[in-house]
This record gives sequence, structure tokens and C-alpha cells, in this order.
Amino acid sequence: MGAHAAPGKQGSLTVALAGNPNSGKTSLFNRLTGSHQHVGNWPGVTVERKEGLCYFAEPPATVVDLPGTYSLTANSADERVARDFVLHGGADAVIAVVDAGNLERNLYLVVQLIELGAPLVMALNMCDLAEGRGFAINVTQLADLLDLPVVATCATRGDGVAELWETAERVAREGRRPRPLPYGRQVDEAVESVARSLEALPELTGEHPSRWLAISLLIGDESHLPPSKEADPVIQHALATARANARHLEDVTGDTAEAAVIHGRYGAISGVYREAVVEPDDAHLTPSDRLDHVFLHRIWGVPILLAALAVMFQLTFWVGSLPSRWLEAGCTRLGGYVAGLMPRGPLESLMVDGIIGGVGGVLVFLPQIAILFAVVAFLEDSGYMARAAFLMDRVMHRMSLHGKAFIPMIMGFGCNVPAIMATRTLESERDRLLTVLITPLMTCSARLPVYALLAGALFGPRAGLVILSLYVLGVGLAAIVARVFRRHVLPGEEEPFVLELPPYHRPTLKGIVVHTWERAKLFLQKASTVILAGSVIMWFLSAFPWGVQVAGEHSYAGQIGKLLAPLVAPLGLSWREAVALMFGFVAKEIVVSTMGVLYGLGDQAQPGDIGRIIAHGPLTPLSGYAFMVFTLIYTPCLAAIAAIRRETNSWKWALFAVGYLLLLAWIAAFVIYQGGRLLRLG
Amino acid sequence: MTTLDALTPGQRAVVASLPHGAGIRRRLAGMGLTVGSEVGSLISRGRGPIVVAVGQTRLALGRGVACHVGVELVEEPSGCPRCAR
Repeated sequence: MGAHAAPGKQGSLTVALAGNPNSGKTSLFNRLTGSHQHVGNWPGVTVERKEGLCYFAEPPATVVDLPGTYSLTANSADERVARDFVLHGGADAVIAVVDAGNLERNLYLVVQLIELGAPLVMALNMCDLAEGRGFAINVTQLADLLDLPVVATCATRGDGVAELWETAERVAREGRRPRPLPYGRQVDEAVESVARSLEALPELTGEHPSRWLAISLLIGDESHLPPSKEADPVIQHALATARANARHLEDVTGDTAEAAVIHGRYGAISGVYREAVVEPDDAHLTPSDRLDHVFLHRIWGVPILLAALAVMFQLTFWVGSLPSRWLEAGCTRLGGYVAGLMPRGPLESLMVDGIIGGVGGVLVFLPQIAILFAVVAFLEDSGYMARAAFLMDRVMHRMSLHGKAFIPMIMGFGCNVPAIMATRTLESERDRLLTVLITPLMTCSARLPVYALLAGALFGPRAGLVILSLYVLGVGLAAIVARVFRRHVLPGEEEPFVLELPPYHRPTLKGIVVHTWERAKLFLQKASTVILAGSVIMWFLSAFPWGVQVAGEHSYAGQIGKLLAPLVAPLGLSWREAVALMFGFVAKEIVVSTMGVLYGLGDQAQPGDIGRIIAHGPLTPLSGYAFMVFTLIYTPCLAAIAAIRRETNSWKWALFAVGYLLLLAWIAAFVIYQGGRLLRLG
Repeated sequence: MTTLDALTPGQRAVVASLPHGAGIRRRLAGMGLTVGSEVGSLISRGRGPIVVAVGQTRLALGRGVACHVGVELVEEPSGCPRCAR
């Protein structure tokens, strides 16, 4: 049925989903696309771009899940992405997904989509929940008043989804756009006057709807005018008209022109809402509010949060360690099998030690990462994530961080990779970037074996305290770094804390599985590219020139270590530790086995043997502590670097993170070693 | 006339003025908080963010924002909404 294609476009249809966060947009997207999804980034920004194929359509249509936003101003990257996609005709039809139980506020976005002149259909989602709470919505009347098709849906059960899709196809075919709503006489007159002055600019109004452009100019947004605007007398006239009208609006309303427009939008919304919706009599305290009296309790709120996190970690390590061991055993067997197939030599070593050993060493974390993600998806879908941000905002605020940065930071104690990927829940790009940059300072589980070995060998019974001090040092440094970066690297006004607490609801298994699979897939993609490349390079450095002791004195790695020796000498370290730290770039647990090789024990050494050597040999408690501090701070691992690169969408920030962490690690280790020597501790 | 952060849980009020700054006003407008909207205080405890009800939306606001939202108290005809069934 090729007739479904929009006029002027060949082949398949593109439909965009727009909606508020928590409107059930993602469930609807999952319903429409099943597992045919692709997650990427919008060009130039760190906003996630989700796209999928809809199998209701023939030929399959593309569905683009626009970022969930409350409005379509130029305020945030999310909003700009969503607005520009609609504005530039990226979609043949736009489905506005609204929460039927919170219609009035959700309509604010719909009204702005109407301003943008989008071919629009509205999905009145979560109808069952709204009905259950006593809302009576007259769908026909709502469609009449808004002048667009409205379909009642329940995306989690799949009700109404087929009808919604048919309607969207029809809207795309007909290119039908709803007529604008009246915003009150004063605003409408001002908008019309500006729109008339724009009529002399057909090239502009041909590209953008003139009413939307007029509103933009009226509220002072001139970013959509061509760069030649200074020289063009017609544009100057339109601008003068806009400014005069804005001043007039300010005079009559006593507030800004934008406030008048916002007021006009809500006036139109409330007119529609009151006619089409009957609210329940007792809308005061919902079941969600009652739950909040428990979860946000003045005394019990934080302990409940901490208990939830404890359960998260237990799940991650208990449940996750079993499949991790299977993966590890599988990699070892695969390595042995491949080694048996090939003659001994560089190629066999590349396959076994470089590729299988290197990637396998990172892959064993996959089960833990997946479980952490499943837990986060659960927290997010249930609505608890926003409560955690609320509870921790005051503490995080002191670190110049947003309340929502708390969960990623805590996850960092498990594994930095999912923690960095979890920063997506932060709306502001600056907050997100800041959180990404400091998350590596959280001691992940892979760093613990290094601490355990060294602290156990060098500090004996006080090892526990020493390890604790490293965790605390990480958090303390994160607080300092966050404040410094907020002031000097990412300056600007602090983002005010404004956060919706969505109603609690039961997460669906499907939603969690889809989310977890998406994230696990991203991790696997990284493992097969960046991590593979890094592993091969490290293998080459340790195995060549061919025939030397692997990672020993005469290997390239050893030679580089010797070059680096003067750099680490002020930290009380030798070339051996430099090589071990180099290998820690790939993954931290390699540090221990590398030390075994470097201290002449071979790569089959048990940690106990290595510990005995350390206790009597090269490292003193002071230089050992400096070494652990260095291990704490410098780059967590290749996978984390890959995650930073992906989440910031730039190599620049990934390299910045590597650079600042290395520098900070060196300075901290230097201060500790030299300070300790001054105090005659070492 | 008082400010949003000064409301005690159970009190209802109508928003009379918003913080300065187009950015924060746009964000609040998107979440349903604008001049004339009716708000009810749900959680407020001396320090830390507060929670208010705006229509069906539950909104957590930092004190830095809330103290710049001017509100007019609404007289409750029959006690506070928390006691109402």
C-alpha cells in the first residue's frame, strides 16, 4: 500500500512522537516499533536520538522518538532538537502523546506544536488510569475544540495503538494541520500585525509558519531570521513592527510580551479543558501523594533510599557474579581452543592474549552492567528516581551538582560505565557534562582488587581503614573538582532545581527489558570497537619485540615504562609501577596481574605471592599509598573512556577527562608522597 | 502576599508573580506554573526543596526558585485539603 506515503516524498513515511516526560511516550514508541530500534545522538548535541521501524505500516515507516520536553522553546538542547525537527518538516506527521490524567499541563506542548504548523494527531494516553481516578474526558469534543484527531490509547496494554497509527497515516497523507487557537484579543492582534509585516518576506514564511515566526519575534527570539537581516529593509520593518507590538503588549498587561503569550496559551487551554474534561471531585491527595508521605518522609526518606541502593548493589554483585564467571570461563576456554588451532607465534598471541583476553576481560562486566541498568530502569519507570533526586538535592547542591547526579555517582561505585551512561537522566547539558567528568572519581569495583592487594600487603591489619580512606578521598576530590569545574570549565548561571515528581506506577517488564537491552547493546558495540582496538595496542606493546618476556623490561611497554620513570620518580614509583599503571588503562584489574609479571612471578602468579613480594620489596607503605591514590584517580578504563566519548558526543571531552584525571592523579600522589616524606612517614 | 516557600503543607494559593528571567519562566510555564495558577503546598520543611501541587502535577522546587514566586493565599472554606476526605 504505497499510497500511505506523503505527497512529495518517496517510499516510506516518517512519524515523530512528541510529548512530556512521563506521558508514556516511550511505551508507545516500544509498542509501535517493537525491538526494531536504533539509539544514537542528534548531530552536534548530546541529546539521545531514538528511531525505529513501525511494523504496522507497509512499507515499514520510520518512527522518531523526540526528546521528552515540557515545551518547545529554545531553552535546552532537548527542546531545540524537538522543535527544529518539527519545524524543518522532518516528520510527515507528529503524534503528540499526552497523559490523560494531566491533560491541562500536557496541552501546553500540544498548543506549541499547533503553532509550529505540524500535521498533528493527539494520543490521549494512559486513559485507563485517568478514568480510574475519576476523570471524564469527552474525546470527540476535545478533538473538535483543538481541531485535530484525538485517539484514546493505553500504550502499556496496546489499546488504541493500531487506530492511532491509521490516524497518523491519514494525517500524513492529507497533510492536515490544525488551525491556531485564539490567545485573547490583545495577543492575537499583536501576532496578526507582526504576521502581516512578514508577508513581504515569502522566502521566510515559505519556510516557517508565519504565525509561529510572528510569535517568536514578538517574544524577542530573532534567531530564525536570515543572517542578512541587518541590511534588509523589509526585515527591519518587520522587526520594528514586532518590537512596537511587544511594547504595546507590555503596556497593557504590565508584564513581558512573552508572559502575555504564555498567558494566552494557558487561557486557550483552560477554555478547551473546562469544556471537554470533568475532573474528579476530590483531586486533592492522590495515592501517589500518600506514597510520597512515606518515601519523602523527613526522617525515613533517606534511609529508605540508602536501603534501595544497598539492594541494588547486592543484586548487581550476587546475581551478576555468576554469569560473569561463566563468561570468564568461556573466554578462557575459547582462548585455549584457539591456541590449540594455531601454531605458536605472534598471530596466535594476538588472537589469544590480545583480542580474546583483552575484550574478554572487559566483557566479564557485562552481566553487572546489565543488572545495574535494569535496576535504574526500574527506579526511573516507577517514578522513584525523581524522589531520590529530591532527597539528595541539598547535599548535591553543596557539591555544585544537581540532585539527579546522585544516582549516577552512586552507580559509579559499582561500575563507572553504566554510571556515565545513566547521566542521561539529567536534563541540563552542563549538569550532565559535569557529572560525567567527575564520575570516574568514584571507586569502581575493579579498583578494589588493586587496593585489597596493596593495602593488605603494606598495611596489614589497618588495610580496611586505608581502603576506606581511598573511597572517601574519591568523593572528596569529586566535590572539589565539581566546584572548580562549575566555576572555571563550565561557567554560567546555576540551573535552578525544578523537577516534576511523576505519579508512581508499576514498571512493565517489557519496558525494563527493552531499556536494559538498549544499554547493553551500546556497551557491546563499544567492546567490539574502541575496547578491541585498545586491547590490541596494549597487547602489541607488551608482546613485542617478539620473544621477550611479556610486559617485561625489554618489551615496548617496559621501554616506555623506563621512559616514564623520571615522571613517576617524584611519586616514589619505579618503571615497573609505571608499566602496571599503563596497563590499567585497559582495565584496572590488569594492574594486579601485570605487577605479578613485573616482579618476576610470571602471569600465573596468585595475588598472595604478589603481596608477599610487595611486602618485602619495592614499595614502602608511603609509596604504595601514593600508587593506590594514583590508581584511584587516573582514567578508570578504556570502556569508561569510550562511554565518556559517547555521552559527551565528542573526543574533546573524553580527552579532557583523561588529561585532567591524569594530572590530578599525579598531583595528589605527589602531595601524598612528598608530604609524607617531609613528615617522615616513609 | 507571600512567597511559595513560605506556604505550610496544606495551604493553597494563587501565583501572583514569577522569578525574573525568561529561561526559568519558560521552564515553569512548561510545567504548568504561571501567573494565575492555583498551587497547593504538599511538602515544605524549613530547608531543602519543597513539593507543590499545580493541577495534577507534583513539582519539586528548590528554595532559590520558590522564594521568588509570589503567591496570594486562598481562604479554605472547609479546613485544609489534607483533612478533607
